[in-house]
Amino acid sequence: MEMGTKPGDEAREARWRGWMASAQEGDAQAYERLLRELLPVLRAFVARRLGDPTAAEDVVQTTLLSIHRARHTYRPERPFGPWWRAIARHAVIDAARARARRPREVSLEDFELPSRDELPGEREELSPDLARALAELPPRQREAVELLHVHGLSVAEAAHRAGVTPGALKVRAHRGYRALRLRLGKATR
Amino acid sequence: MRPEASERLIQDLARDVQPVIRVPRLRVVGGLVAMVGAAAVALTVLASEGLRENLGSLLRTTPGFTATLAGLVLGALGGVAAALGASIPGRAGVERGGLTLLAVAALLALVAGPLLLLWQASGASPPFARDLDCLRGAWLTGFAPAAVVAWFVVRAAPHRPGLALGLGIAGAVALGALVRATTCPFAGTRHLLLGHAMAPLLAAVVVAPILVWLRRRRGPRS
Repeated sequence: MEMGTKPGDEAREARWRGWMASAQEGDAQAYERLLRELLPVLRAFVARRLGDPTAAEDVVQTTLLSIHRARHTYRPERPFGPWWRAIARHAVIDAARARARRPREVSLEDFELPSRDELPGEREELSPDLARALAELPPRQREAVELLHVHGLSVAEAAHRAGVTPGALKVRAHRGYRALRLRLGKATR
Repeated sequence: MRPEASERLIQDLARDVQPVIRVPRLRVVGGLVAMVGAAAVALTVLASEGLRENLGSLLRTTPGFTATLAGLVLGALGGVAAALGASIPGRAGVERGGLTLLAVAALLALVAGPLLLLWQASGASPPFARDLDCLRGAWLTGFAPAAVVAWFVVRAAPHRPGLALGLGIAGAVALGALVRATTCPFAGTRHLLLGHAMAPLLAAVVVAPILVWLRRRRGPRS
C-alpha cells in the first residue's frame, strides 16, 4: 500500500484485487462491479491530468478497453492501484500526444457533415439521399459513420464494437464523412 | 462526450469477459531467461574450446577491455530487466532500474571502453571479416534468451512494444557479446567496438522493428 493512503483506500484496494482476480477467472459480475467502482476514480484521475473535460471521457473509455485487453497481466499478489494507474497514465499520455500531433484531425465535430439532429436514431428516418449515400460507402466506413452518428456511440465504444483501435475508427469515419460530403454535394447539384 | 457511453462500455466488457491465463511472475521469467542464457553461454564456450588464454591478464592490465566487459554484463542485466518491467503495467520501478543499468552499460562499453583502449593503444584489430564473425557469434548466442524475452513481451501488454522488444533483445545479445568477447582471441579497439560492444545495439535496431511489425499483423484489425 502506498504512503498516505486512508484505511478506506486499503479496504477498497483489497476489494478490487479480489474482484480483479475473479474477473481473470471469467467472473462477469465481479468484473462489472470492479469497473463500476473504478469508473469515478478513473474519471477524476484522467480529468486531473488531461485538463480537458471534453476529451476526458474518451480517454476514460480507452483506458477501460486497455484494462480489458491487459487484464491477463495483473498478478493478484501485487497491488491493483499501480497497475490500473499505469494503464490510465499511458492512455492520457497517448491522448495528449495525439492532440499535439494532429490537433484538428481528432475532432469529429470539425467535419461539416450531418449533425446528430440530421442523422436521427434509426436508419429509416434518414433522408433518402443520405441513406443512399451511406449505403454506397465501403462497409468499414459505413460502419464507422453509423456507429458514431446514427447510433450516437462515443469513439471508444464504437471502436470496441467495430473491433478496431479508436484511432483507426476515427480515420475510417473521417474518410466516410469525406465520401458522404462528396456524394451529397453531387446529389444536390 | 457522453458519460453514459462509459456505463454501456462497462456492460459490454463484463459481458465479453472470459477466463484468461495470467502472465508469469517477472521473477520466474527472469529466472527462465537466466537459465536459457546460461545454457547458451555454456554451449558457446564449449564450441569455442574454452575461454581465451590471456583473459586474466587482459582484465588486469587493459582497463578498456575490462570496462567493455563490465558494460556488457550490466547491459545484459539492464536490458532484460527494463524489457520485463516495461511489459507489465505498474512495474515502472523495474523498468527504471533496468534503464539506469543500461545507461551505465552504454557509457562503459561504447564510450569509456573504446577511449581507454585507444589511449592504451592496445594492439591492432583483425581484418573486418573477423568483426562480422564475432557480431554473428554474439547474435547466435543471444538468440535463445532473446526469444524468451520476446515471447514474454509479445504475450504481455507493453505500452511501447518496440522499445520493450528492443531493450530485451539488446540485453540478451549483450550476454552473447560478453561470452563472445571472453572466447575471441582479438582485442583491438575497432574489433571490440564493432564486433562486441555494438552487437546488442545493432541487434535491437534491426530485429525489434521486424518483431513489432509481426506483432501488429497478428493484433486487432485496424
